[in-house]
Amino acid sequence: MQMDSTENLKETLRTDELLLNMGPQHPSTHGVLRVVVTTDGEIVKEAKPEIGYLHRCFEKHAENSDYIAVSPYVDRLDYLASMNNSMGYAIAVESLLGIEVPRRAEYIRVIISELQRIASHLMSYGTYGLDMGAFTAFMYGFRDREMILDIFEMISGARLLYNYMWIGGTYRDITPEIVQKIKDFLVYFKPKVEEYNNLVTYNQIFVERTRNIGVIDLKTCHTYGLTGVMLRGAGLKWDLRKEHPYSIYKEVEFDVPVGTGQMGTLGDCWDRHIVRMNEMIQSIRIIEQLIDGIPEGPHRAKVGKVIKPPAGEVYSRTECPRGELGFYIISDSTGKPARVRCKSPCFMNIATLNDLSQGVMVADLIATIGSLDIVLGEVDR
Amino acid sequence: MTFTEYLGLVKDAAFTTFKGMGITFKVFAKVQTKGDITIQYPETRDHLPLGSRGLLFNDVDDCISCKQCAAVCPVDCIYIEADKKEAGATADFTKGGVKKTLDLKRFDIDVSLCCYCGLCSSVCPTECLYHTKEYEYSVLDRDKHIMNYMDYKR
Amino acid sequence: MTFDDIFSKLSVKFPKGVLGKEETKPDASIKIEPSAIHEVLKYMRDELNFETLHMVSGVDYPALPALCVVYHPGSYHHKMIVSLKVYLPRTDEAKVTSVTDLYKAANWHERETYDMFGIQFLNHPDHRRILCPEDWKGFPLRKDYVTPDYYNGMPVPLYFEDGAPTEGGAH
Repeated sequence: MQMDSTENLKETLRTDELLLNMGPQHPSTHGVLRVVVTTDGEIVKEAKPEIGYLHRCFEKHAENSDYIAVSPYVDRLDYLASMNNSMGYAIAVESLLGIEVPRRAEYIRVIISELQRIASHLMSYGTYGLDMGAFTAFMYGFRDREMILDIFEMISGARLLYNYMWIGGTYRDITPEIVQKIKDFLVYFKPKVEEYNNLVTYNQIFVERTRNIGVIDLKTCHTYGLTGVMLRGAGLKWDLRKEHPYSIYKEVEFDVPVGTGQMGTLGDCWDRHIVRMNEMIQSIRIIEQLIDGIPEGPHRAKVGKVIKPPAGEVYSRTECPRGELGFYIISDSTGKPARVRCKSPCFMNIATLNDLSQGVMVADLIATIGSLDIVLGEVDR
Repeated sequence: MTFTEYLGLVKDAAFTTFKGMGITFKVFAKVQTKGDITIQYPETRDHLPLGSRGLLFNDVDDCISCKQCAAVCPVDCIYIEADKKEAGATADFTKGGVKKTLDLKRFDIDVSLCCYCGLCSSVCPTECLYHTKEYEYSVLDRDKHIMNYMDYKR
Repeated sequence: MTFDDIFSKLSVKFPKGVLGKEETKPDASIKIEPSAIHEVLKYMRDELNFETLHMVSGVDYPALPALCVVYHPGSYHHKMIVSLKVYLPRTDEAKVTSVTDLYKAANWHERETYDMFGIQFLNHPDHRRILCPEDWKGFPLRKDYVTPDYYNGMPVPLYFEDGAPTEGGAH
């Protein structure tokens, strides 16, 4: 029997590229996202995301509903940070109407926004740990998130989709019992961030899996229009609450955490993760400054049953946990908006996936998707 | 990398892993001594706070058929039919003393469409439409989710 | 830099491209000729430090009648966002040059504008629908759009016009 020489072996053992479909149902994609991956063995050549599985025609529904009735639809965009979405929409319509929100409502809105930011970052921390295999992180993150959801249930009546930030103020007032419960939660939660850092963030296995992966530098951020944690992880100190302050953010003191490339390259997955953990600490700081001084007064401006803004258009942005959420509203002085366009931050975050995943392994692709922190409700609207 | 760097990495890995495990052992010890926080549903049920938005209920004796709830509903799940009262019919009043000018014939809510936003109960002038705390009302047929509130008229 | 500075700089550099400004409240916008939008955005990116493109959206004005594409380039230098509007005829042949080679953000935003309004973007690298299925007929966000009753044999609305629920709805 003749043995093949090495040259013949290379011709007969032909390798091909494999087309993998990380289909819409997959335990580690954050929602119904489909990624068409072409791999050469374990190394990824191309990873093209396909979206549209959760498209619910929010913009068409908004054109057929009154301004007040659009609010429940806006909640369902980024369903894990629902209060921030409603606040963004309410601020856009209030600038169209030209009304001022009472002080008590502003205080309540900012406290609740920051609590929602903590809940959303806990969810992102938990699911990122779950993607990496750390099931404990998921359980601990959700245990603390349950406490925030209990507070929100006392405030608004619902656990996940609140319809609480109405145009002109808030739906209901808060009681001293709720204020006490928020203070108890802050006392409980303050040492937890350091505990979570010890559990996951500085764990050498996690560091090795996330450093030098998914590097987004400032130039990529600018050409893709990325905002929020992507920009801060790449080193630019830009936070809409400091640059274009809305509501009462001018009166509170907080820092803007920025990635420094401590464990690897500047702008890698680890940098974005530590920025999210530090943002939770800053949110606690904001709530502590505001919780004791809520002024008396009405919780909603007098707006009337039917809202009819004068003709005009506005593009207003707010800082949500996942980036800058923008609302472009065109009004033609009837009771229904002529056009509501929502610029969601996660839409561009997931568009960068092909550029980020050239030449990495499949497990690193999962780490990159987890660090982008996408919610498909916002991507597809 | 050098052998010293490699040993340093091994030491880092071991040190951080044991630090994390220390946290989980503390929680484990606390659960053993103080009991866990899991609620064993359905043997025990959680206590819902005041104002929770569950299943809708309409007290049709108090309804004045203003149709504001149907107008503001984002998903159009409230179906109301009301006729003008005949001349000479007896005057009808709600509990609060408001005179009813229309005769309510049909008040249905399709709760499979309802999104529990709370807009309808906030605009009701007589507060006859409100949210209960009920959340266990699953049925086997989708048509049974259309609640006919005229059946509860006294 | 304010909005009026940007408008005067653009009017001087592109006298034929800039058609005027719309003084809507609270945000004003600049009207641009469809054939000039690529050069205007290139000038804004290279000379005026508008590093990023936040959004490209479409608007339907049936009263004019026109279809409009709205661009929102933003600058971290000047800390502002400018709104540029391009009006196109409301036919099936509404075409405008794609700006994907200037800003990669325009890739997916223009795909969505094509999907929802039917505006065609010339020289786009990946010109297909993004949110609706690939073989969907019609452009949903136009004001005269009628939802089809059936798509590939599956009923589309939850209840038909006569009030009867569609068959095969999930139980």
